[in-house]
Amino acid sequence: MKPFLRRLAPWGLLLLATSAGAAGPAEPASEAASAYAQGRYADAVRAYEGIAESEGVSASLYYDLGAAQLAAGEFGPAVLSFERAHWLAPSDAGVASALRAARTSPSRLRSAPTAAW
Amino acid sequence: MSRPETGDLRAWWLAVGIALAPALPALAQTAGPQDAAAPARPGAPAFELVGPAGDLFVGQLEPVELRLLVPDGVDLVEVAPPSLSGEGFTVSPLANARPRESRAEIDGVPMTVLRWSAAVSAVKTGPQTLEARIDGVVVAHAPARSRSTRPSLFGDDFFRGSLLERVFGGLRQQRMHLASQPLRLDVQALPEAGRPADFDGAVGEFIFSAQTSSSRATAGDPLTLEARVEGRGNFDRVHVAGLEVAPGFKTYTPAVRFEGVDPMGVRGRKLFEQTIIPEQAGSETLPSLRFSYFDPGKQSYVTLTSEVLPLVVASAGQGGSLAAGLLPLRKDLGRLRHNAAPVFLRASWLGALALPLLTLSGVALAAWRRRRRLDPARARTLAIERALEQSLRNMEAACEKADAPAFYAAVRRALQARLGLRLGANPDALTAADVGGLCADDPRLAASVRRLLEEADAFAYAGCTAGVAALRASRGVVLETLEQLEVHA
Repeated sequence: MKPFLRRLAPWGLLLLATSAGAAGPAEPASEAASAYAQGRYADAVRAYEGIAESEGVSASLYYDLGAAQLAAGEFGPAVLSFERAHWLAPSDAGVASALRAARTSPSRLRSAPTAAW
Repeated sequence: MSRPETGDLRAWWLAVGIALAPALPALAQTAGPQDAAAPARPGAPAFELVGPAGDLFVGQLEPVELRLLVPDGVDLVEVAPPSLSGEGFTVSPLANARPRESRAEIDGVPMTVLRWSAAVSAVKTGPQTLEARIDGVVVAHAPARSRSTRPSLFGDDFFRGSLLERVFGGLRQQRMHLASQPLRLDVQALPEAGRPADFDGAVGEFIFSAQTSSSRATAGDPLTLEARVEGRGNFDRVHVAGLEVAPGFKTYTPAVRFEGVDPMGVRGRKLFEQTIIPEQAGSETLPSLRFSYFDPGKQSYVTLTSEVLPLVVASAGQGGSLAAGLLPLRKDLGRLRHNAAPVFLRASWLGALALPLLTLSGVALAAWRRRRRLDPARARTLAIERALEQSLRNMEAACEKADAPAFYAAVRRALQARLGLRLGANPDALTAADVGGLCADDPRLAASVRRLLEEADAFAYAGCTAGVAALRASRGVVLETLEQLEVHA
């Protein structure tokens, strides 16, 4: 029995490590979503960029980052983020729609809080 | 289908035995002016244009086929893509630059049929003519005996019965200029009566539908409204405006995409994808879309309307605080990866690609080393070098023990080894008598070597003795001599 358990131990540790890794970005992601909901779009952008730097990227992360950038008035970076999301998930219709919408008429998509010029 | 008509065959020349003398000067006559309506001569290539039957309407897009009929016994050496011309038509580029080839038998004559496709659209009303032309080079084969009693393939008698014809069997290379029989069509204008306001010039037979990417949505969540026109006709004039102003929706300009079913683009589907964003929660309906076209079969205008699309819009939830127009976020970010580079840019993939190259290099290196190891000359050199090193070690040991015979035996082997290396000869076969010839370029060195070898002989065969001091002195001379032999090598 003992050799069997010894053989299983590394797999168990690997599973634990994977679970811990998967649970990593949950908190920063909720912070970013909260900032977005409260209209602190620049904070949301920073939070998503932090997640990308520390935890890695995914199509959904790029999508959320693009949405936050769009809301913050950063139209170019938003299109880039949606492009990256589209690159990672070409068949994602939501990403494709967001990308099209951001490209077609970004100024109409949101009520921009600031207009520098 | 009309029978093929043949244009004339002009500016032809004879090339007796194409492989032997393809560049003989033009010896033959030139035929008369082109007569496109002249019937095809038996056994000659023919060219025909097959197009729509009956009347056309302005804007109507129809496929046409161009056929080159090449009877057996005539080889097509070269053919240029055919051209279509007609003042009252716009002609699309050929759908296939290389012809489709098939076999057929027409009036009992087996032949090869080459086909090209294109599409034409009428732009002028009234009687219009469409013509096609083709140029090429053919080689006709005709047995000399039969040619003397039958009319020539191309109507000339220049070489009939001549020596050249009898020798080469009547191979003839001729330039070919063919024109099809003109296709006469009556083009009518589109009727004014019953023309819909949204008619934009589409002529053909179509079906029309529209759908959304989902019947359920969240306020602020973009949806795709797709309008689709399928069928046959001039798709370049097919336009669907999409949703322009719809209360409760934000709308964007549709993206248009055409997917052709045939290479001419006559049949296919045109898709209009429009992003719309519902702004408020509740049950909504998307207004129907319209598309109008002229149906030449029915000779009337047709307006198609899409179904009214129901849409249930949920509130944005967490996005209750979201202003309309903001994109809803995704709560699940999915699996995060540090390396989002595509597979073909990843080090692992590049490493996998490099693996066969490294393996190949390793195999080549191993083969080279093996070949080098098995080289007899190199193996002999290595053995001599080892023997030399061993002799030097023995010499040192004998010197310290004052063992003169062993010392000089080692000296002899060392000198033989060094000379063997220098001369590429067997060291054991070298004696003092050989040294003079072997070191002829350096008499002083030869004398030194000879003296050492003679001393070795003396100690080996005459029972001489020497003390440690004498052996050490001799060792210095030996080492110096060996060094000089190495330098000279």
